Formats: sequence, C-alpha cells, structure tokens
Amino acid sequence: MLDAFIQLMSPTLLVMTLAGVSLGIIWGALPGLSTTMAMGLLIGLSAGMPQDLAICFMIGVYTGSVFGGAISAILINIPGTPDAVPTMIEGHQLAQRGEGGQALGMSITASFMGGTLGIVLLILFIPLILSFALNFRSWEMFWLAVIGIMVSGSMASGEMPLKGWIAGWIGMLVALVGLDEIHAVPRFTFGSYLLFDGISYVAILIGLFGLTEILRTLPSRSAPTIPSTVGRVLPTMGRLLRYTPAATRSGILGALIGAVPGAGANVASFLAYDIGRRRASPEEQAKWGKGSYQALVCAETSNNANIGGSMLPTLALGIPGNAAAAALLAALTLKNVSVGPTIQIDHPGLIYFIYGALLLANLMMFGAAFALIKPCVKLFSLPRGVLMPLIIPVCVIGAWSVKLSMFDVWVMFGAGLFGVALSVFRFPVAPIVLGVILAPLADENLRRALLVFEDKSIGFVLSQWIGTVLMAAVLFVIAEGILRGLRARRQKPAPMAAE
Amino acid sequence: MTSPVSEDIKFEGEDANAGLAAPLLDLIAAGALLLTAVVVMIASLRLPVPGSALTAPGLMPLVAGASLAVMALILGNSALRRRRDGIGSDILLGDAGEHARMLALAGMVGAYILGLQFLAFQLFFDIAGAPFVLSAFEPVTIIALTGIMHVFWRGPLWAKAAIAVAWAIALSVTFQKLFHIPLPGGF
Repeated sequence: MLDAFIQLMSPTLLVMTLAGVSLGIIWGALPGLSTTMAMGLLIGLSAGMPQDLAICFMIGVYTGSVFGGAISAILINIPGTPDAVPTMIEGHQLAQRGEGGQALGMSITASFMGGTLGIVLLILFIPLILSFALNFRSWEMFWLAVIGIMVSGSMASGEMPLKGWIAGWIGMLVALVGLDEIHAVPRFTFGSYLLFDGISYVAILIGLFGLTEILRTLPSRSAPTIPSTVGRVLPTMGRLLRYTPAATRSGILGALIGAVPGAGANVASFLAYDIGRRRASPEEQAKWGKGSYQALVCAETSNNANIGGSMLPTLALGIPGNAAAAALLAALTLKNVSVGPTIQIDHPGLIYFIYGALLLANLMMFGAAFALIKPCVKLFSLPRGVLMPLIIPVCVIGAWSVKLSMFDVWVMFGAGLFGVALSVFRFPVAPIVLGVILAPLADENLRRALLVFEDKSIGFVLSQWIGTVLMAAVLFVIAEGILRGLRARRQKPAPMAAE
Repeated sequence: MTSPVSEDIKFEGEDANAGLAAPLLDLIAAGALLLTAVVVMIASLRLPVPGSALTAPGLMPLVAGASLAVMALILGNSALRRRRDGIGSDILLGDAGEHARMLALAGMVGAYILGLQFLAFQLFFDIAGAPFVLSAFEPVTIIALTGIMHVFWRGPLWAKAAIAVAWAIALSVTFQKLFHIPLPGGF
C-alpha cells in the first residue's frame, strides 16, 4: 500500500489528479452538465494517457463533479443532478439571505468529510467483499448483473420503474450486437464488419449524456439569474463541530447506499436529508427547508460518501454502483484493467493505487473547491449559446478517440438523437448505460451457468444459495417497483406534458 | 421513504423527465418496443447454434427480447387504461420554436460530422522547428462552431469566429500534442 502512495506523490500524477478535480468541479458547477456527462466525455481525453495517469484523472473528475453540482444548486438554484436537489433547497435559501459563501463553505467541508468517510469504509470493507466475491460463479454473476440493471431502472424513473427497466433492456440489446463471446458468431451485424466489434459503449455514453443534453438545453430560451458576489466562504470551527455527528451518520448512510449496485447518489442524498430531519432537534427541524446548515451537511456528506460506496461493487464485483461508476469502469477497461473478484490477482497493488487516488482526489477537491468558487461564478455568466456549442467537438473527439473511427462518431450522434426521443417519451437514460456495460457479463455467465446446470435438477440450482438469494432480490426489486408504480398511479393523474 | 421535498421542484439533468408520459406517447412507445422485441426474437432464433442449445448465441437476445415484449405489453396496457379513463389524454408539445431550433441544431451537428468524414485532409508543417498537422478538424470545427453560435447567441460575428478559432486550436493542440490522439478529419 505504501508503494502506491509513494507512486501517487509523483508530480505528474499530482498535476493530473488536480486537473481532473478542477475540470470536474467546473463541469459539475455548470447547469445541465452532469457527472456522468463529464466522465463520458473525458474518457476520450484519458484514452491517450498511461494507465496510472488515466486512473488519477478520471477519479479526479468523478470526485470534483459530484461536488461541483452544489455550486450551481446553491448560487443559481439549478442543481445539475438529482442528488443536488436537497442542497439546492437549503443552500439557495441561505444564498438569498446573503450566506451563499457560508453555505458553499459548509458544502465543501461536508463533501470532503463524506468523501473521506466513504473511502475509509471502502478500504475497510473491500477485503471482506472480495473474499466473499470469490464464491461468485457464473450463476451468481448473471443475477448480480441483472440486479444492477433492475435497480438502476427502478431508481431512475421514480413513479414508473417499468420505463427504467425497459431502458436497461434496450441497453442490453444494444450490447449484444457483434461477435458473441463464446462461439464468435456474429449477432445482429447485418453483414457489416463495422458491427463485428460491437457498438462502442463510450460512444453511446457520450451521445446519451453529452449530445442529448446539448440538443435539449441549447435551444431552450430560459436563463438563470447570476449572483455577482458570494461573500465569506470559510466555515467557522464551531459550526463544523456542531454538525459532525449528523455528517458522520449521513456519510455512513451514503456509503452503504452507494454499495448497492444501481442505487446512486440521489437515493443517498434524499434519504440522508429525510433521516437528518427526523433526527434533528426541534429547533433545527423548524429550519429544515428554509435554509438549514445541518440539512445541507446531511445531503452533501451522503452524496460524496456515495463515491467510495459505489466503488465497492465496481471494484469487487465489476458491477458499477451507478452510471458515473459505469463510466469509470469503461475508462478502466480501456486501460486493460479488468475489475472484479480477481482484481488482486490480475492487477496486484492496483487496488491500493485506486484507494490512494480517491483519497488524493478528495483532498484536492477540498482545496480546489475553495479556489474555484469565484471563477465558477464568472463562468455562470457565459451565455449558454457560447458554452454548449463548445462541448460538441469534445463529444466528437471523445467518441472518435477510442478506436479512431468515424463510425463511432455516428454512433454517438445516433445515441444523442435517441436520447432526445427517450426524453420526449419520458424514459430515463442512465439504465441504458448500466444495460450496455452489464449485458456482456450477463450473457456470458448465463450460458456458462446453464452448461454447468445441464444435467442437474432444479433443487440443485436452488441449493446454490448465493444465486437463490440474488434471484429473490431481483424478484423483490420487481415487486417493489410494481407496487410503487401502482401507488403513484392511485395518488395522482399522469402529467399531460410530452416533454 | 417520505421525502419532505416538494413535488414541483425540477432539476436539470439527464433523467429529470423520466416517468409517466401521455397515454398516446406510451402507446406509441409500447408499439415500437413490441415490434423491436419481436424482430430481436426472430433474429435470435435464426442465429446458428454451434454447440449445445444452452450456449446458443441467440439465447440471451431471445430471453431479453421476450422480456422486453412482456414489458412493452404492460406499458401498452397501462397506457390504454389511462386513455380509457381519460387521464392525461392531451399531449402538450411545448414551444414549437424550441423544437424547430432543436431540429436545426441536430442538422448542424450532423452536417459537422459529415464535413469531418468527407472533407478529410492532412497538411504537415513546422512552426519554429516544431512539427504541426493541420487537418479538416480545424477548419470544419471553426465553421460549424461559428454557425451554431450564430444561431444560438446574439453576440457579434467576429466574437463568435474568434471563440471558434481559439477553441478549435486549443482542442487540436491539447489532443494532438499533449495526449498524442490524432483528430477526426485527418485521414
């Protein structure tokens, strides 16, 4: 472990982590530019880097962009991602009272505390999960991949989980194009050699999260009100100490939720915000929703602790915790890093390097966030008509750079248009990414498992208790989703807007 | 979980919009999905089976297609019931001008990619002894960005062109010199 930390102290890696963190903060701060979009687009930039630089850079982007959403949420009342909604409710109220700087300062500190807690829990629990994961055979890996797609679908479309599951299934079908992994039989290639290698998930990621957002937001005429000043940013020590217990509780909660495949920072943030309100003193409860520092701390600690938590299934099982972790997984795969139960055997020492990179990125986020608040406020005043077009060539290069193929650029363009269509029909896009990433795992493992079970009875299959538990978990997710959908339909009529 | 967050709070993000749509839209989606699922299932059954049926390349697509068909039927059934009950029967298509601008933007992005593909060239030259490559990426990007900004921003034309030139050069130098990634439009 010490070797990994020493390696991280090299000036190039330090600079690259700082570059990733800074880019991530600025990206996350800009309304409409999400964490997953940042991760997807910058995979292209990391494609030309050596493995260690790419890992530091992408982890920096992930850490920075999760916090960055809080800046726009607090100052201009537009959270870039759902997990920043509680931050927006409390933080913007504080900003309107002239305490925007203090709200940002508390958010930065809470994000740092949450990030650190998540990483510490990751380091503590990953050996246990890794040793347990070695018991996972094909049957268990198949069900785990299905759980990842189902939970992601369930979480992404709130009142109608069915649409999330359908989106996941669409992603799965897209990933099945190309030569199959066992017999090398071309599937759905229509005789085109361009499709033999499959459809690039990086191009899909960039199209769905980059181009779709540009196509949706650039033509919109609405523009946010920009504050001219933020005031004092550094929080007082007394305030920090007062909210430490709430931060610790929310951090643990955020990390635990992050460890559930498919459940993202939005679930963590809302749950911590809600539990925080129930556990707060009556005096503090009265401030909830009207500009409470404790509420802000609960939301920000949990969504940053979620980063460490989401890395647990990503590294130990190869199942991304959320769409941003899926993008990180894609970046690692491009660098020939295969994560999963055998990561310690396949890449000795790499896991310690990733721990170190996470800690370093979190520390740099703390420093860079304070330094970047004022430049971010200046960036908000850039017209959308200038900022968004500049991202278009980045989308093109990002899709092109993986295989230097114009076909991938067209795939990205198609995915962007498809993303707009999905938005019109009110389907979520995040489960598609999980579907694209996890389908090959599900496909290969299902067929291997069936071959193993060829001559066995149903009783034998059910006696594989981990697989049976996972299968029951999938059924539970389906039942819970159906019940939630029915409840939502009884409570309110469907919205009539098509967009 | 009971969230104290008001229902009418909106966030900007990729999945801000997900959920129930107007029944007519859900019906159209269900129809398209059912058709896709059936095509996938038929195509899966027509795939060769080199070994045991249990490892057939078409197995997973068949299972995925069948389950997608079931989900499409449930979605269609739900939409039909809502339509019958008169819930959310109108489709508000929003600002028509915004949709026209979105189509125009998609067209410009498509034209930009076409330009990169079909106007590809490479010029090698030196500046103060340092080798540089000029490809279709720089001029096509400058023209495309200036055009897009011209439609979506009211600033002066010289400012749009200057931003486009600066950005194209910055991207070109960053990717080619710093990260050694060749750019599209080169060959």
